Amino acid sequence: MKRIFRFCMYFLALLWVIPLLWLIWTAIRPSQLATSLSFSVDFTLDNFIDAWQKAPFAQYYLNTFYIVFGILIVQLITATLAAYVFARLNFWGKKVIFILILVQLMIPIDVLIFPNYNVLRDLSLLNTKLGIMIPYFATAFGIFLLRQRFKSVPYELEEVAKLEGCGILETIWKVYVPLAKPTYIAFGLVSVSYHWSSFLWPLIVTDSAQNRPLTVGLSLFAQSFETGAQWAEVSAATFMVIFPLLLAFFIFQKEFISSFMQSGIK
Amino acid sequence: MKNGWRNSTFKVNFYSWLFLLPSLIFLTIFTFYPILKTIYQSFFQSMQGEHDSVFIGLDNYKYLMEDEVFWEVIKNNIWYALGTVPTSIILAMMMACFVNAKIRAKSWIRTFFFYPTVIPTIAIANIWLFIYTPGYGLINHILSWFGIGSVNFLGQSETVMAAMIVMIVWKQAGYFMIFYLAGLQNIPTNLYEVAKIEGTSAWNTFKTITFPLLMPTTLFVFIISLTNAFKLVDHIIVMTQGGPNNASNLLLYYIYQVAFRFWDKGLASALTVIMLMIMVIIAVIQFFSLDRKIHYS
Amino acid sequence: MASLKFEDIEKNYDDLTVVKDLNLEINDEEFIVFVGPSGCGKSTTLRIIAGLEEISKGNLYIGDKSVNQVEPKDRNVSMVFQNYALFPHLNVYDNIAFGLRARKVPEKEIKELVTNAAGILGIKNLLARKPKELSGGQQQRVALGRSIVRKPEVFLMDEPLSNLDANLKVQMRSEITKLHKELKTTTIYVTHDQIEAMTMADRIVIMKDGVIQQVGTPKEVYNYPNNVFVGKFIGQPAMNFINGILKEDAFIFGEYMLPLPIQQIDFLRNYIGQELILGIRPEDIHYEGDYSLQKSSLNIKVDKVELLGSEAYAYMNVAGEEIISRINPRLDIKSQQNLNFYFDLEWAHFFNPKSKNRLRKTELKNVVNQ
Repeated sequence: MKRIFRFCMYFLALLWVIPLLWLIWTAIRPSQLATSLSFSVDFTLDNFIDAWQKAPFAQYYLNTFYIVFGILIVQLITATLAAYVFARLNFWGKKVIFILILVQLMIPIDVLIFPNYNVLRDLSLLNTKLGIMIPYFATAFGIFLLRQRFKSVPYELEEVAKLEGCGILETIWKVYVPLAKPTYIAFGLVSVSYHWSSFLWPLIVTDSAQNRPLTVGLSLFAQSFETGAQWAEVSAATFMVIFPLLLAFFIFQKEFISSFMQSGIK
Repeated sequence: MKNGWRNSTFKVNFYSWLFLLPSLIFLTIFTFYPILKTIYQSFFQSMQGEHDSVFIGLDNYKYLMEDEVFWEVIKNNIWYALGTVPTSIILAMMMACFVNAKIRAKSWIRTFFFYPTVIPTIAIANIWLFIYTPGYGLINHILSWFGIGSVNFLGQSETVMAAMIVMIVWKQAGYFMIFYLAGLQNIPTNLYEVAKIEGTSAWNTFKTITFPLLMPTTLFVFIISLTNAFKLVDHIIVMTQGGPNNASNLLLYYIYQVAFRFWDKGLASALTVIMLMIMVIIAVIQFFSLDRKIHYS
Repeated sequence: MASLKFEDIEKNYDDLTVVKDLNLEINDEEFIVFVGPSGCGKSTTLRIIAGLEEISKGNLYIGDKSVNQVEPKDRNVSMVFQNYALFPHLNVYDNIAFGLRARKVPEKEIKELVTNAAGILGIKNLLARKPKELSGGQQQRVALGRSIVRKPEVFLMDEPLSNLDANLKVQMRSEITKLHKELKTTTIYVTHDQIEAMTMADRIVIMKDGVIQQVGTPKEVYNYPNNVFVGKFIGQPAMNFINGILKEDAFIFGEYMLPLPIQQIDFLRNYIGQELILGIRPEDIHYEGDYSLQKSSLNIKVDKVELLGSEAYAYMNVAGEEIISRINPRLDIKSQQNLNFYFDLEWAHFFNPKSKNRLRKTELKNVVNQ
């Protein structure tokens, strides 16, 4: 019984890794072999070079970096301030505001593509990188995650900081932020991988290569081919898009897993 | 709260609101306002580009009620949820139990299960497109070894939904596994020691200890996977465009079509409102399941 | 360094009054210990000085300046917390330097000050360590270092020794006293431990339910407790209290009668016939052996004997009250023996059973000058 279970699970793990191997296999073999499963030792990087030349992937990369880290930086600021308030201050209207922020957890921005498109149009932010980023600047998830961490900081530390001469912002910066470092890493990883992967929203907002992130660029690149003839190149392009994420994942595996774990504990 | 100088109410309120302001501004512009606006707009008929919109009451909703595509989409989405949610949960639980046990190549296995989580759905769609493609796709290659002719998984309405479900399960099961791993680590080991002393079988141990104590995790994962079933549509754009014959069309993708292909603002708003209602229902389920969580933790 | 003055200070949380009618002057360079059971308002008083709690009523002066509206960071006080409140992410050096950095002191000067402070506290070799790598005593020193390094006008210490084990406590007690002798900074120290209060304080402030019960030197509060509470709280074991009635020249309780010494008779003249509480320290009840010296010896059955090493206590039950006598630890006394005890009433006090206050006399002896 136990053995059957284990065998099945090893088999499942194998099944799970096949798509990635298949992708790499296709990407590094000459494109004319892409449609066959035959084994040969041909190895080539031509597909990567071709893909890189046929579409402005460098620009896409830059855009994605800009968008992902732009979102993250603003999120860190807005979430830190709000989390501190919710963790430590008692103010008029706290409960109501708290519930309002819960609404965002309940209704993800992703389902509001149509109304937010209209908002963006009214703000003249269509087809801009800022337009892709701005709806995500406030993050209920980040606020809750940080608030939870801030609450566990011993209150005396804040009092010491006050006595030793820190103002409120300095206290947050010198006491809360360094103590919540693991939470920031967790939030950062979740946010970056989420927005790196985000597709539908940037697809709707952008209509020029200048502002498109990798995901949108990749889908356009893939759709520009009718037949399977260019599979190898599409695979290469796909691999280029996921490579930084996979690399980051392999390097920071522990952090990734523990941060995704943390992200679940609300 | 015993807060020293911040007890001076004015200062506390001032700082609180000041610090909340950035978050509140963005939340208002991109969550609260759009929600209200979209509810409002769903009572009007207006096409993009036309400046006049006409109040038509519930006509958009009435139209949807008679719209075959809408019902097809809702039906699809329910099947999509029924297909992805339980399967992902069961697989995730099995993966976690497996990876949590003493096994060979543990961290590799965990990596294999988890890595699809960090790949963008759009890239996953590309990969699986090659897997499903008739003739040359990976699966058809394998089928051909057994003498089975080419199957167009994405091209026929009978198989397209199943094909998508398999792919999504592949994408998210490893993600949920992580939550189960966390859940498993919270189960006190002495419970298992008791089971060992009592000579409980592995299956009974799972049934009487592991499964019930993982209930809070299961509820949590259930909510995320249910939400995902309505949120995850990126792949449709690359793989099927909702076809064939709307067989793979999902609600969010339909909103996308109506809004940005047909440019029907009123209808897109009405659809968005329905989507919001679904989100609220999920939130209500979550709210009530949280109550139950207490019994298990 | 500065003096402090409390003027009619009151602190309320909603309906709850935690500090009431607080009037007190603390002199420059003084070491003041606030002592009392938990919830007596001593910590709140300390936090009021720090500015961590707002005053509901009254005025607080540090030096000549009213600080009611002054923020904690501008009061130039420093505080040592019970759990030390060290920043876990900073090493010892940075912890000590924290306040100086917040005040934008140049790094070069910081280095000098921190090294100096670490030298005084004997933690120079620990500067690179993180708090979690330190023992309790070392953490305590770091907290003290952070507190003294910027030379504040007032040191505030909130039960700083309560997390240390007994031996370390004794050691740190004398080190803090030494530190105070060196730095001469006005120090306000809060504790629930009366031994700390007795050994460290220039003056002790005893609080109960938000109200000061007595302010005085350790000797004063020990020898002349203002009321039953102070008598019970200061001294270990506590002062014995016996309810009884005053006759002309004796104090009567149960079947027992204690003759009064001349001075007491004189003083108590107005209370004859009244119910009073007699307060007498365990060391003033002497075991007299087989012979009875005085007629005020009482023959009492010993319930149990507690040997602490350098001293021993006999527990007895007299007219429904447990009383304790300090006895010579070398004596071989077994429990359940009936023995003669001599009550030295010269140092006894009498308390009003209603107000629980000590009956005031024009002090018979000035203990301080003795």
